[in-house]
Amino acid sequence: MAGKKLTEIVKKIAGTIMLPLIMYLIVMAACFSHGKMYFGTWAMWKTLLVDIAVSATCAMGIGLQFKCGRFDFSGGAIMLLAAIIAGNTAKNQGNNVLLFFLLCILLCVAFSLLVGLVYTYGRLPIVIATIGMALLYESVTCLIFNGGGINLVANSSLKVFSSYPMVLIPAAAAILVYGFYSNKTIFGKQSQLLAMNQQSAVNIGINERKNVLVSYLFSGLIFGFATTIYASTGLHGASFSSLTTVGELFTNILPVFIGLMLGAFCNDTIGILMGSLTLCLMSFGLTNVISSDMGSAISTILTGVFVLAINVVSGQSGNMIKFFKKLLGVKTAAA
Amino acid sequence: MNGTTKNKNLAAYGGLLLCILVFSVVPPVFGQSIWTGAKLSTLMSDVIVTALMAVGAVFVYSLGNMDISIGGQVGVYATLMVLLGNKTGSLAAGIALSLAAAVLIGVINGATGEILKIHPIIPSLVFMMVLNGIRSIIYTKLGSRNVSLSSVDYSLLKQPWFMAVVLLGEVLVITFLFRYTRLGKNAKAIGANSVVAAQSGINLIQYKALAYVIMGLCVVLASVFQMGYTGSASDATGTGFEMNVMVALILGGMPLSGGMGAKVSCAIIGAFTYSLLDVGLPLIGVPNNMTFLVKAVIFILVVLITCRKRGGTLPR
Amino acid sequence: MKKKLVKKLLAGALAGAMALGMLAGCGGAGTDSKDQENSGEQNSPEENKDEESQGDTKEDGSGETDQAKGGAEGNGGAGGTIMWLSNLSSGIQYEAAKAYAESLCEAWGYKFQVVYGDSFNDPAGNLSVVQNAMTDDVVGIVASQDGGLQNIMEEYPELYVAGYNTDMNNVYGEGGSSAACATNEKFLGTIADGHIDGADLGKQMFDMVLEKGYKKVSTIVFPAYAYPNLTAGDASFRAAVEEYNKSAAEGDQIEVVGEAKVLEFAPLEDSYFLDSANQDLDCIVALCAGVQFVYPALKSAVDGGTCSADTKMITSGFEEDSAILADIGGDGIIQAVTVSPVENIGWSLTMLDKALKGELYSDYSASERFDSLEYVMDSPEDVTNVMEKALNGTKDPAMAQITAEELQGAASYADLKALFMSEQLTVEALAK
Repeated sequence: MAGKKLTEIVKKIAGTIMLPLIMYLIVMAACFSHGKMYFGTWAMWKTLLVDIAVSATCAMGIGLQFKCGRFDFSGGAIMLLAAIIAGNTAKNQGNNVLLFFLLCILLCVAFSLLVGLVYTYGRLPIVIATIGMALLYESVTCLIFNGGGINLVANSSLKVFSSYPMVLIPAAAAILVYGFYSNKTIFGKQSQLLAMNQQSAVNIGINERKNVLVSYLFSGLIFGFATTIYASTGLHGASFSSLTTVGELFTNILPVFIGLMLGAFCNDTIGILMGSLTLCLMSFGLTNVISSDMGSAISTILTGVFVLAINVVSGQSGNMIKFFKKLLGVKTAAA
Repeated sequence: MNGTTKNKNLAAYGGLLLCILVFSVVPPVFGQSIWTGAKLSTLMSDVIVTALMAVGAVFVYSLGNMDISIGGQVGVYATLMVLLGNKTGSLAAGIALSLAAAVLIGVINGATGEILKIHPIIPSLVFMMVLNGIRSIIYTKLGSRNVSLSSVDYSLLKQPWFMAVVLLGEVLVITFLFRYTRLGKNAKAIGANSVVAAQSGINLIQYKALAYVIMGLCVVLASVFQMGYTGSASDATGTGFEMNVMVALILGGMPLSGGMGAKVSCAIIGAFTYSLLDVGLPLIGVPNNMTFLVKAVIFILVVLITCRKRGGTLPR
Repeated sequence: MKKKLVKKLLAGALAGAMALGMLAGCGGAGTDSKDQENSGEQNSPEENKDEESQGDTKEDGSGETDQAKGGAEGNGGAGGTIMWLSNLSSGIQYEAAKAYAESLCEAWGYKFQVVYGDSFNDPAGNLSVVQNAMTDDVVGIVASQDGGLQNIMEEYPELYVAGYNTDMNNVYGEGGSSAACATNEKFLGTIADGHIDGADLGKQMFDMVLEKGYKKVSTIVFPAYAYPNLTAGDASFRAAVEEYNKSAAEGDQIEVVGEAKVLEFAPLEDSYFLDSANQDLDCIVALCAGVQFVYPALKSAVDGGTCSADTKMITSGFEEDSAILADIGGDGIIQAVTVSPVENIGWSLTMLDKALKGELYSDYSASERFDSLEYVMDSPEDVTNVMEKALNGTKDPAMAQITAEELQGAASYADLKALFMSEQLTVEALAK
């Protein structure tokens, strides 16, 4: 009995870390063969941790709504607008780090709640509501602070959260909030019921509007933590073309898909972390190994192919297991 | 037609009518007019690409799906047309190759999700990344950010009357296919309830693939005009077009969950409304950086009227 | 049923009205852009006298006579709107240029309008932006983007166009997509953003490296397909280093580490400094816009100890951020940064004004592109002078180093050009 339990645990751990481990080995081989011997060093991990933190926190913000059945297009715009307001305000107040941190959180929560209010009281389909709010937030970025966006790259005080070890604080906070909401709150459980069968969940008495607003509160919190890192990892200009921030959704939703795929082995919080780790390792490898001229283009193509492969494997895992069992002559339950 | 649907349709038309009214009445106060040949020609140039894509996209959106690889497709097709046009002296080769590619991409986009049991947006997300990468590689190899037609006469593609004729032709064909053929009816049925549709004997793979193929063919047509606008293509051609199509359809009152509420008119209304804002707002003195805000507010106001669900659970 | 019919009839009527209006636009792609609007002015004899514009319209094949533009070419008066097709939408350079241009236009009787060009310099994007923003009273365009310029000039054949802050490679470069503009009499040439020839840029960077005594350097550029002059600059830089090393003593030779790093319009990644070869550089020669694209990673690496604290950078670009400005010169990471004076837009506006009044200089024969001077800031004093005394930093037209009167006072094209090549437009002049 104990043995069986242990086997289960080992299986789950193996399944959870298999993907990032395989990616690590592949990238290591590629880097070493190209003379990039710094792969795997502590210096590399310090650099990669920041990328993983941004990816994971954004993915969790988007994923929280996605697993409730809501495709939210406004995350990128929320983060951009909050970064611009919080960053410029904190700069003007003498580079006040605490103010910057608090403003990021508060603004993201406020903007996120506003999206939730438009959705729940406007009774608009979620895609339409979030696209509308994304357009609105992006348009505001052009009007505030002379449309200059935010630039914290040289600001040693305010960019403290974009480097090791301070990056761990907002990252850990975001992970805790996500995990807490999903697993320890009644709202998280109710949102799963709503996602599975909306009408039945409402029929048994779940207050859908309240649940949605609470979920936007939590996703706003997570986006707030993400913004503290995101705001200082590069220059962020105002959005002068429509829906340019939607690209954030399509980039940061990839770890969510991987997280869902790993759902058989682990909690989705860990799954998203593993997804972020895998994609960041892949991105790091591609950037450092492929020739500069077309590096970005080839990276994009390979990432797309990888995403497809992951999803195909995930979707067909049952059939693949059956096939291999048949091949190996292993008796299946049906037999 | 029930009251809700009637109101929604009136509201969608109302948005367009309001824009026409405002931009007819206000610009003369500023000494400008939208009813000049030049401005209407500009409007047609502005709307044609989005309208052609959006009309074709009605099929895909009626399934309850969306295609985010449209921008990447336009970029690659326009580039192919220019490159092959310069090589062969005619646009025919480029268009033919683009049509073949569109069919292949459409089949993969439409069928893969159903066959491999993956989220339908995944194949189009993959194509978006792959096509954007291919486009970048092409221009890196060419050593230039843009390519232009050198010996092909594309002046016909810039004529407003030709644009209007082609758009009208596409609308008629797509409307016929959508309203009077099994293809359209099955697409709407799949969007309404795919489980019921499958159990009714509709081949989901076949009709989803066909819907994406039709959209792909319309995207090729749009690419012809996109390329013909300046006789060139660049490494940025097509960027963001998938969002333009989505916004146009939403403005036109298209239900994103698909189903029986999908109509071809949504594409036309939405595309013209959005382009009218693009062309009309500068005429009433709205500064460049304010136009985005105005468009966003109008978008929200229109959708609050056209897409609001009354009663029951929250819309998805 | 009845309401449905009414709705359909209404929609049909609207569609018909629009179609009729569109058909009214037939007869060429927008060549009648000003015709109907200015039909009231069509009969003015002065407009028909203009041989230049008549010749242009015949070249376009439109067969239409040129019309008044509101700016009344040839009738001795200024007026109308000058449109700036800008490659910037915000920032200190943008605000300074806009303020200066507005003051000049106000002084000379024009209105000034800014439209944001396509961020990728896409021809279709630029044409669309100009078309959407075009109004009856636009008389000329200051173009900071060259993508689609030929299409714009074909669409609006009566408008004069002068370039600012662009090398107009699409016009003057080999096989450029807008090459026809070079011989279009309405195209007045351009003043570039610094050096046009990449070789000159490379030489400039080499001189700085030599002067500062750097021995181990690397180079960073944008992709060749987008910025061929930067790749040429890199080649020129390396050639200059090689030439220098031939005669330099062993300890004085300069080492250029590896090949040029190509940034595909994304900031330099932090992992660049994980490579041991890049961890002890004396200087990074960022031929691209280094302040935006290289400085963030370099600053992080220096602060985080991933690279030597003595690694410096020489580059171009200008940011208003006080933390970045404080890091220029002295012990700062940015040892030299170049930026074009914003007064350069005055050249474009002056040429447009002269052309619109029919007073183009007698010694002006054909359009050309020429280099502009640059502010080279390599000390905190230079930064202070630019921020407090120059138009670039103050955004105050009153601080401009070339005044409206000086621009109007140029008696010839050579004099006008000389103004923009003179010492009064340098950082040293600010120090006096």
